[in-house]
Amino acid sequence: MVLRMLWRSFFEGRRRKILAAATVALAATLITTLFALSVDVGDKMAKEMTSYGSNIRVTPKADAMPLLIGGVDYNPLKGRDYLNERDLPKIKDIFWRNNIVGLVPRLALPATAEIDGTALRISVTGTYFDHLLPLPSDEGYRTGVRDINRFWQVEGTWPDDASESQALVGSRLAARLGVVAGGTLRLRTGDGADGPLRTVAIAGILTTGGEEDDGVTVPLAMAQAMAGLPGRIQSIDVSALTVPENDLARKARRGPEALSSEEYDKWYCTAYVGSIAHQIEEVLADTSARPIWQVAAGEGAVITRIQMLLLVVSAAAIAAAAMCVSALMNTTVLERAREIGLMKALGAAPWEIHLLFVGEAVIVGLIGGALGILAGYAVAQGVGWSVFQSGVDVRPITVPVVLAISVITVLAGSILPSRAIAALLPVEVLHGRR
Amino acid sequence: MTVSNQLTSDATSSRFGSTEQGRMVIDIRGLGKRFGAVAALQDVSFDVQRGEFIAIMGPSGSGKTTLLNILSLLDRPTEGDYHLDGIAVASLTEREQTVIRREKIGLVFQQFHLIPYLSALENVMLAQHYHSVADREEALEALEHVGLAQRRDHLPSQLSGGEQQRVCIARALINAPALILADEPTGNLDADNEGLVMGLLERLRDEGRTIVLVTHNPDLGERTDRIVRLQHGRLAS
Amino acid sequence: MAFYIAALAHALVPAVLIIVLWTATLPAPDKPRRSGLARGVCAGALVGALAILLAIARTAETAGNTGLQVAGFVTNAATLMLLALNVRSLRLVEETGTPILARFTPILAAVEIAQGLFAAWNATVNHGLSATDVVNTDLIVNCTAILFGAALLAILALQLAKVARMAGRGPAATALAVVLVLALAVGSGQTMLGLLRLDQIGVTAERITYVARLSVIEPWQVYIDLGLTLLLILVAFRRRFRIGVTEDRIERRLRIARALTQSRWRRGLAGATALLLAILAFQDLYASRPPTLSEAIGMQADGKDEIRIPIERVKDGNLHRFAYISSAGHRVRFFLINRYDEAHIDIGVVFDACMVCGDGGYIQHGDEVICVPCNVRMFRPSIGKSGGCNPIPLPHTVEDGTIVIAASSLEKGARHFTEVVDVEVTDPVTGQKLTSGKAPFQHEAGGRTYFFGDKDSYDKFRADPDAYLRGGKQREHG
Repeated sequence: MVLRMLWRSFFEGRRRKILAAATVALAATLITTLFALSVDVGDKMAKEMTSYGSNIRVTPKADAMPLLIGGVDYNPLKGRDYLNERDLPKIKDIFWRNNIVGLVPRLALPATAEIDGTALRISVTGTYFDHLLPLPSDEGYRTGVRDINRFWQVEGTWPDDASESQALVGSRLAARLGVVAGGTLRLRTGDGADGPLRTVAIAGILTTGGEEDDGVTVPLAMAQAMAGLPGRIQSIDVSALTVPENDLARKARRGPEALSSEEYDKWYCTAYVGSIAHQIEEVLADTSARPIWQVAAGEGAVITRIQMLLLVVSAAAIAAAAMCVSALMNTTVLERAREIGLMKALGAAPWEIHLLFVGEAVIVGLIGGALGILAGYAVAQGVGWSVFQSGVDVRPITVPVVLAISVITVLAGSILPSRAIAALLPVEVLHGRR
Repeated sequence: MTVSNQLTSDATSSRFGSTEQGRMVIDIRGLGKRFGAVAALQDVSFDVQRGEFIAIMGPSGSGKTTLLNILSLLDRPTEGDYHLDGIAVASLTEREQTVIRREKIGLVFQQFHLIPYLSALENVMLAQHYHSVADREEALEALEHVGLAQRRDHLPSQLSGGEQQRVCIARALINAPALILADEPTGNLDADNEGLVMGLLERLRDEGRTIVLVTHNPDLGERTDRIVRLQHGRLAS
Repeated sequence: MAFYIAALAHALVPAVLIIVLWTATLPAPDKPRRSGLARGVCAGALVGALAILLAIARTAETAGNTGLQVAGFVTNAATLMLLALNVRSLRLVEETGTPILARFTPILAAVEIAQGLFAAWNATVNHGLSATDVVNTDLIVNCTAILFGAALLAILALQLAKVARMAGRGPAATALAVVLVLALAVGSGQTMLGLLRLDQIGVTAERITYVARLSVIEPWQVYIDLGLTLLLILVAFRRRFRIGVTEDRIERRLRIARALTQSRWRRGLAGATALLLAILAFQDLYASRPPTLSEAIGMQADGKDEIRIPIERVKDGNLHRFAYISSAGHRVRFFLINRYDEAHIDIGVVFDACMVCGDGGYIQHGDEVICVPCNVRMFRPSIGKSGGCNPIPLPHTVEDGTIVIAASSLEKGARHFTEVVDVEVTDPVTGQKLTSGKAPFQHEAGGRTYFFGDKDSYDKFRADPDAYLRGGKQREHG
């Protein structure tokens, strides 16, 4: 009976209900958009924090900021601090040594590529591809980008780490230069025309999706020779098996000094990325080892800052929609006053009457919310492309949350009309003569 | 079992106790109602026996409607006692009054008052629903009783005024109330329909229902058992 | 998410039951007004929240919890006493005529709610809502779970109030008595544990045993309470309003409506209880259980006191777990795993225990080997090397395609394992057959444990072990 009544009465005052649903839909669109953006980044961050693998970048403590313009480092090499290549095995000697899967040293230098008489400023990066790094505990330990960065794709062959004349050319650079695997490239150290020149064989074309696509990647020894910095490296990327971050790890991130000795022991003996980084700093003097949180450092930083704004805007949208709904509902209650008075006179309990109106409001909220989600999905895609240059993955959680918010909006809007229902006296509406 | 059988049986064993022995359906002593300084009703005392059909009459502003509202528990008196079917109802809480209203009182209004989006049958069933549970068969019999069985699926807007009022009467008697209160039931009807509705009320009286009719039409008053006259908020008799 | 609902249920179901059943047990004049009860609940929530804030500010979880436990214990004891009086119809009336019981109820509600809230917070405080502060799915789901749990408990309370009334005062009072006794028992254990931790009372073996015994009951408390709720539903069902036979159709409709209302409350409560039980069971029996280790194959040393395992049998890349019962009855687990692939066979031979985390063991999940206690993923090529959370290496040799492990190496590793089984042993002096767990004396020599039937043989052996050991290998494996 209740459902039948709800169903029938739902089609009363359709125009006003459509209006109310539209209001809710507008607010829901806005909230879906903001929420989808926020949750997408939040989920990515959470995933990053709960993953079982992390990367740590080790740099000299007083490292000068690289001056990167178009993928080329313009900061002069001299006067910079460097790490020593011979210190690399020390990293495999820390408490959590077995959790360190790989080490990738890097040395980048500015260079000029010459081909067919044209010269192009580029960045040359030396690294390990699959390098033998004998350790006291494991004479045959091999490590390098082939193992660590499995998504790097090479068209051709990987260069030999021992060679000083093989290189990978980034795919975008290769397109600009018009070179293919198997060709040769003349590289001149530095940005002038006076640096030493060497001819390298292009072993393959490298595609990573990152800045390597615009540069030349060579064996570390070759980069050291070009830069005249034998045995020196700029940074080390350490790939480690870690456990997900939790409260203790977050607390430790503010500085291990903040921990009690009991907590410190627990933290030190747990393979958090932070404790591994801490242990690397302990064995490599004057270095700074930092976890690389890609999402947290990028989109996460933006979202964290604007999240409050998102909240305020959403709250304003909800409040506005609720007020609109409230006005519309109030009119409905006035218009249907006789009906309400009649129900009261027939002996309906107050909650039974409220149920009818609130039930209608909930349906309106659900319809408005559903429309808003569809519209918000589209808007989120647009914003995603214009702000982050990528589509926004609208998470499934958005749907129930926005529907719930829509229903709450409508319910909030129904508070005042509900009081009107409660205050309505049947005597005033039932007798036409008064 | 027909509806008429039901109407004669006194079904009042609600949670307020059975009062089948009581002869008095309405027992009012010294009833008064003030709106601020204005006294709408003063020292009204009368009773209505079970099975009586009485009329409350008086000119506009005599306090008829105020009395009706108090009788139907839609309003509270400021002084005096009101016993409905043996229960002192004036002192009950809002919630208890709601229960009394749905179990003991059937209301018929001048302006019909049907839920516009429910069919005739559903309007009757709604009264059953608020009272206890809906029973389609019983509701159909009640519509048959007022001669509207074939119009059961029509919406109020598809019914004539007389038909609407007959639906209202079917609704008022569906829960076998101790008291049927009719407020100018023919006020908005033409002469033919007036005759039809009055005939229906008289038939209900013959079946043993207790009916209080509020009207200012002397012709209708003449057709009842007894007339209670109000003048300036007091009994005029 | 079930974690939060379960934590709320564990902490607050007893509180809800005590408040609701107590109210249902009271005779009509003592029933508190709704507003009084609501005020009590709100005050309790406020006190609980304040206690939580204070505990955070002062890092005094134990003190806060113990304080509220004491308050809860005293209140529960008072309730039980009053219930006894109440049942004997000795109504307590103040001189002014206000029933004491009506006054007491809001206080009871406040204490119960405050204690329950604090306990719920205490149980969840080390369980981060989410990995990051930015709004994300986890955060929303967990917050929703908390709200849902609270709503479920509120619904449970409302429905139980109705159903307890239908079941009658007697059954409600009986159920309340059981709930109270249980709460008192658990509360006494918690209080004592708190006092021990706070150094308010001295540590004695009896006290530790008491706390340990009661901590066994504690996880079951909520199940017993919810079981009682189901029993009350059953009683209410047996005492349900019956429609009976009546000629009067109106009367019949009224009766149907009444029976229907009752059955709705009963079914609603049964549904809410069942849902809560399902969530609790899911969380306690399934979700929170540590992963189970795969079965270890029992191994015994051969005539040369060696264990031989062909490489062929373990080269497939899976974790192959074995167990060896040491002379002292320790169950020593070890596993073999191919560190690389079938083309490059290099078998890691290690104990199923770690220097950092103890003998929690390792499991294989897909391609990963995980340390169960600390959840660290192993770098597979490093298995067999010491350090970090790596499994402890087990000395072994390889002889033409067979891994050979000396029993003595396993005996030495026995100290890493706590799991002990009874084995039949022989007293090396008297030749008497003994059960390792029941032998009164034991002595370690040359990495092995020997058991003795009496002090005499024990002393003799200690004086000159070699004299008895030279006589041959008398030790038997279990």
